[in-house]
Amino acid sequence: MLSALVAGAGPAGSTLALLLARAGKSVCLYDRSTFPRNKACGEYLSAGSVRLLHEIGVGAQLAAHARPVSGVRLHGHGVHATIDFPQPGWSLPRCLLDQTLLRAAREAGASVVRARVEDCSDRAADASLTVRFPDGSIAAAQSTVIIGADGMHSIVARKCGLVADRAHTGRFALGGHYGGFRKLDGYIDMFVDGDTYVAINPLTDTAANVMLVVGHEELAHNAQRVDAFAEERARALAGDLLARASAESKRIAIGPLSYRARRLRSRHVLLVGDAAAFVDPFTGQGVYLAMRCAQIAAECITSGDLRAYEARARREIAARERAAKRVGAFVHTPVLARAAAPMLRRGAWIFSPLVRRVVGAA
Amino acid sequence: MAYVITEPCIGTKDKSCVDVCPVDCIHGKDEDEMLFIDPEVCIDCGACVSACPVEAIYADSDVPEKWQNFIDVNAEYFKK
Repeated sequence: MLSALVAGAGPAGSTLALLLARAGKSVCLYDRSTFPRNKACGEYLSAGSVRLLHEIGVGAQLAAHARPVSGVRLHGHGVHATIDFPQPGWSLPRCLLDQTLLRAAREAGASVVRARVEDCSDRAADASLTVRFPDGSIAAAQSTVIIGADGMHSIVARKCGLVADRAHTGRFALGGHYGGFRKLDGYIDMFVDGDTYVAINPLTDTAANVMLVVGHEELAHNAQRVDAFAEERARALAGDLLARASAESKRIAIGPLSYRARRLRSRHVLLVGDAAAFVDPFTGQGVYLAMRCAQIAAECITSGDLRAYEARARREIAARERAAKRVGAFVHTPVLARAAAPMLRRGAWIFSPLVRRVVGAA
Repeated sequence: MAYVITEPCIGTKDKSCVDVCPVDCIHGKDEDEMLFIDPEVCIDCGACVSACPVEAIYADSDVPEKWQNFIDVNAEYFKK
């Protein structure tokens, strides 16, 4: 029997498999996709995420492909404000991040199997994971530790009763790569209109990740022409910045952008990454939390104290959620945004501790 | 890309997926034996996958070999 089975080979699952393999554990990682694969993601990594990547030992090889991000320019409600990050983050293609972490896990000794997780049951002595292989056949494997790193639509969380009813409405993100910009600098531009926003994160001087976040109602209303709608909405919000640019990839969607497991642990099962909690993509915290929860999980698993995971991971998640909520309130509430703008322009002093939290530098 | 409903749905037709789809692209009449996803409308968000009680829904790139024909079955349904 292997020491641990990990469902999902995104940043959370790969990081955990890597850390466990390094600690001498036998671990198998399952994912339904072939890598590299595309995912809806803002492709911004906070300074905290960059620090974690260096800790994990893949920072140096990724640095060559990353572009520094100095801050965010917020536009909306008649306000233009620049927030400089205390430490720069990175913009980095998500498929490269996923592929690098997965390769590192494999090199550390984790086995990687292409299969979709279909069932998970937690029992007295161990837990069992049922997977379906690409040929359609099914197999079950047992271990005393199974980790659900299978995203916000986690099958592991659902089968183990760790999630209450999911939200069916809320906001959805539609992302894609655009090319043809004239000259992008090191800032993310964020155009906000109520709960809707579009974020433009430069990947090169002329290409950027463009992510639109809209409410469920607006999306449903435009269901028959989602791609055209997303294009028009992004252009209307971003104005001149997008004028010369054009989409270079198919848009990828994810949502609803609100999900949180009721519990992060049952007897032999842990949830990490988006399967544990999904934070507003506005803050660029998803990958940070994925890797940080994986670190905590690895420590708990190697020390044999799975019980400690719930409280430690929750503290980490709660801190990010609080910060995201406060920034969200300022950004999405016109009155607050206007009130905050002069302070932001004066060097963002009042926001500094907050910004540090949000960008993961604290 | 789009998601595809496969064999386990036949005779199940739970319809939980219909409730969670943000663009209302999952259809099936009473007389149909299963539900179908319109690949032209599907935005690939994956919300339906975890709503399905019988694990019948796959991304088109991940459909098991023995159910590959369901990619066409879903698409054809909307061409009628």
